[in-house]
Amino acid sequence: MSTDYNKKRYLQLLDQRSIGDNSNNDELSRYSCMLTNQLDWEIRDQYLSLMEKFLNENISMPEFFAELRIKTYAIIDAVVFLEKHRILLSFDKKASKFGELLEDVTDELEGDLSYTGDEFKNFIQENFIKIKKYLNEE
Amino acid sequence: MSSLLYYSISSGLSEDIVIEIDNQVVENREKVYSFLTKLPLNSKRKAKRLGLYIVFMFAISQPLVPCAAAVVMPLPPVAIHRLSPIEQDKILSNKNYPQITPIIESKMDKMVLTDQQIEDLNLICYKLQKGSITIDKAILELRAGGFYDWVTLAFIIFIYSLHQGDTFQSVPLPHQDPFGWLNGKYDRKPMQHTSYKSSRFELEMAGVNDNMCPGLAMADENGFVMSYQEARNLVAETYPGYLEVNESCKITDWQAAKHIYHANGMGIDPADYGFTQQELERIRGESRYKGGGLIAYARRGYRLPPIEMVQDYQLRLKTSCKKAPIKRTNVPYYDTNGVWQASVFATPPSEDSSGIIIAFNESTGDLITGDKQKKPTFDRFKNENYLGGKKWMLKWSNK
Repeated sequence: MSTDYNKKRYLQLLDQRSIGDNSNNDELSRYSCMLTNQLDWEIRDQYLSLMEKFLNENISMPEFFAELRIKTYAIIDAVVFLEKHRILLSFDKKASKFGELLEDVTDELEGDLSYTGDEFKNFIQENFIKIKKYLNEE
Repeated sequence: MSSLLYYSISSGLSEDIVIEIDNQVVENREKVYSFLTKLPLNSKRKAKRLGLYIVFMFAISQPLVPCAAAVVMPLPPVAIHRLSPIEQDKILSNKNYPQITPIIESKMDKMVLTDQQIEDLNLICYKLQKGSITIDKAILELRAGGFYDWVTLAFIIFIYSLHQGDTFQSVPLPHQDPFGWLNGKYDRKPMQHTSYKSSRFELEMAGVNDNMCPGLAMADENGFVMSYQEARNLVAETYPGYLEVNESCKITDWQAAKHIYHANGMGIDPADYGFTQQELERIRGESRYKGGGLIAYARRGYRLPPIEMVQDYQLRLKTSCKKAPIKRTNVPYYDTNGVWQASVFATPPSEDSSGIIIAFNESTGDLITGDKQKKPTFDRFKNENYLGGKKWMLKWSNK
């Protein structure tokens, strides 16, 4: 991911958008996704800690979702804010895949919940292990 | 930085652990103070970048549960063992006895604002709130006004945190109130014995312990305190109407209330209506009980979100639908129950706002969802033309 990242180009695309030129929106979208993933990556410990808290039964399912949702909103707002102020971050090569793995959990913020009893705990446990494993990879 | 800036003391902690926590809290606070006061602001761009980045990291790095515990959790009366004067004298005179860590006064000489500065700051905040100046202009005014760098940074943190995490409490949490925090509002002092009763059921049960609680005895294994029919009637009476978006889409009060946990994403602060995000999330269901939705929520005795809040959410959704540049029909929406065809109104992210997706069930014409979205989720809709979780998409489309 980092090889495709060009800060100057990103700035150029943001400038284009600010004057109403949306001709390169798809390219800008890719950069915005990278920024989103990078911000998720920056707070990866918090996501893991949140999952851990739920697994250890320190927080309930509604508390888990409330905190996850607030983090999600914070990331969404931060992307807008950082792009608006042209504050671009350097990217970690593991951020993209991390974002994908996290998506399995954040997808659960949408729609009805079908989980009962230990099902949701098992679901979080599986994803927690998957993410941990990925973080431990070289 | 996020750890142990504020805390509550549990009755289960030993004295040694309390002393250790005291030390760590003081140390952490000093680190933060020192970081804020010594932040180099020589290079304008570098400082701006660093400052805003810190703002982001600071704002989202504050854990919810400890904050909430510090602010609202009552301490049980048995939690604090008070020393008798004799015990206290003994301890104080015995050098070998572990001493209680002295509470170090914050370095208030660096933190206190003059009356004039407070007045100026209020004026700047007021102007910003009214929209007559931008955040950039506000920061410039702060700098021109001779404020310390830490005030500027705290100001940015404060403003930025307004945009996101203030949904949990009507009273700002310490991390959302940096001025209060820096001025010692959250310094250690006797905990207020406040209690927040979050449901009608809990309100009815106030002052009654579990053993003698007739309500709990009434609740069945699903935690229900009223029948399905009673709850249904209550929900139907509370949410009787709807708001029309166009000839084929409407937002019933009922569906809007069912999805009210998305309201924050549409710019509504649940605290304005006396709710927390956690309470709203209960509408989706709880892992210890089977079944989510409004009826199950009402049956468990939780208070229903007020119709005014629901109408606020409906109106914002409708306004967004009217302005949405992307309108699609027959979009598959996948969830735990299957796949639904949806009409979608979408607003892509722009310079000033994030992407929003609002979807309606094409069979019923009623709301399925309406919220702001992360960029990858928005792109998934835009490029792959589906909504809902990826795993549900893979399950129901047999991919």
